[in-house]
Amino acid sequence: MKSKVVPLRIPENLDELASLSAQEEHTDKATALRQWLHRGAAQYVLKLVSEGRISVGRAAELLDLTVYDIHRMAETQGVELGAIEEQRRRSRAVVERLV
Amino acid sequence: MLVRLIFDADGMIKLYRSGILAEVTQVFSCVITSTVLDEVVTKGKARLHQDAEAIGTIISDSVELVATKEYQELELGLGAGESSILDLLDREQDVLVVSDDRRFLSVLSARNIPYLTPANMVLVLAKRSILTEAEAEEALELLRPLIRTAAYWETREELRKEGERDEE
Repeated sequence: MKSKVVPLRIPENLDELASLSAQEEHTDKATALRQWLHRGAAQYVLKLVSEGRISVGRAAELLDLTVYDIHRMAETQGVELGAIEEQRRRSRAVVERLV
Repeated sequence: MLVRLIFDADGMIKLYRSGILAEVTQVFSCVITSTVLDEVVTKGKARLHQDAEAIGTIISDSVELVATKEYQELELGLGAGESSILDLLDREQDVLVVSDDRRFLSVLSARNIPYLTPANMVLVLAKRSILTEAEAEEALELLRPLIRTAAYWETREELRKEGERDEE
């Protein structure tokens, strides 16, 4: 996946925390900040899927992951994905066609 | 009327996780697009997801593969796999989409395209006596972590009623 440079102003306390995280994880501060950004993006994407604003497939594309990964993330974070009531009702109406 | 099933990645993976994908592909005529195959099997294997290998075997044994173009400009909040299915639906008749993806299902609803969730597929197999009541309950339990809580309880109740009908 391509990357781009984004000038970013962050509060000093977050900068300090990023330094601490980098030390603990044996990495550099920029990597620590990127990891935080990715975790936040993953949570936001899961919310979009749960709300029906993007599909699971699109979520996987946006995070450069697989559909399996999206399922696992939702499972571990307790985010419910899947058909809502109206959609389940439509699906249920189709069951008899296959019986 | 012969109905063909089209799986998206979400529906196919959930059917596999519930342990009924092989049964479904034996009972119904099933089709997937090459884009969905890539999402589920090729990328899944590349990222070492164990299910990808087994799903690939089931697909090669009993699912028709339809070649689709590459998707670069996507709309409607869908990914390449779901978009490839919309293209296929323009050419196919008497098909049902198997998916549990809220966004994709809303697009299908708007286009009046019928669909079935994986939980309801468990119910279909139970009603057709392809699964016993116990097997259907087990499949639903396996599916439980991947579906909404309400969907789990609704299907469980339907299976219970189905079991009562069988006893009568």
